[in-house]
Amino acid sequence: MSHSPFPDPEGARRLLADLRPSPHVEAELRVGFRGYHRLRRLRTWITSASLAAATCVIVLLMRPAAPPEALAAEFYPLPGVTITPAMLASSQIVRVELNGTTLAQLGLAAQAGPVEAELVLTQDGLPRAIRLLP
Amino acid sequence: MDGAEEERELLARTAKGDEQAFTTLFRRHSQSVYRFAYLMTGASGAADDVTQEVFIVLMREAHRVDPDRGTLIAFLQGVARNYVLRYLRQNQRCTALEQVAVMSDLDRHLDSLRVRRAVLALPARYREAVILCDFEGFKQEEAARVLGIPPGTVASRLHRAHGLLSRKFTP
Repeated sequence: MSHSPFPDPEGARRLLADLRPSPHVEAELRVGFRGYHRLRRLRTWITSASLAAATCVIVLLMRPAAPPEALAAEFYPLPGVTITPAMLASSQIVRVELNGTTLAQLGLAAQAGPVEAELVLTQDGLPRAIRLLP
Repeated sequence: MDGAEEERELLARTAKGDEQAFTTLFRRHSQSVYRFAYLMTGASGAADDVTQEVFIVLMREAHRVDPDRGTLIAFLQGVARNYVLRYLRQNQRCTALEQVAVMSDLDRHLDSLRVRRAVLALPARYREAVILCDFEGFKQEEAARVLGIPPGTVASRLHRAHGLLSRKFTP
């Protein structure tokens, strides 16, 4: 191990003890620290707010269907279909315009003009139930 | 709470934006960082700039500093070294050693100046080893981590540096 060549190593250390940064360095860093964290907090807030807004939009767009029991009560099963709660649990509702011929094919009383209706589509994409809208 | 634990807590608080914690870390380590930068560059303005840059890095990266992988001061000196080397590359030659404006004692002033001049006259690779090990009290293994070289190389650089210095300090 090499020994320090300074006549008095401790003394040399003490001689250099007065070396310190100018006071303005600390002052500027503290101002910088405040600014940096203010900006960071703002950025975090904006990100959180954007995420919350995006979540709200997604929730609204992907609003879950009404509970199966409610659906079953409001919709009429199409001919040959037995509606089960499991079938409705992952269903989607689409609004369509049906003409008289189609209504007749579905076993509903034919009307002269088109009728607005909502169809319950199950996961396989097939219509299972219908509700005529006023 | 021991020193390492306290430092870990100060780092965590700094990362969360606690100015008091950051100031405590600055006051604890800035002198050592400044001394290293000053003795490497010989210019107080450059040493101030390096110190500022080092603590800006700490301000932004406090959450990434892992005290388990080495002491905070070793991390700070490592960052300081990068800035010092950049400064030395840009300025090629070291600036003349500045006079310290306020010194209470003329002898002390002259001795201090002599030490600084001797250190500054060393080649940079020897100088950084001397500053870290002789003045900042780093163990050779710790200095090796800061400098990114094997401990054996630190030892040999120190040995050569001491050889050069002893010629200046031998009456």
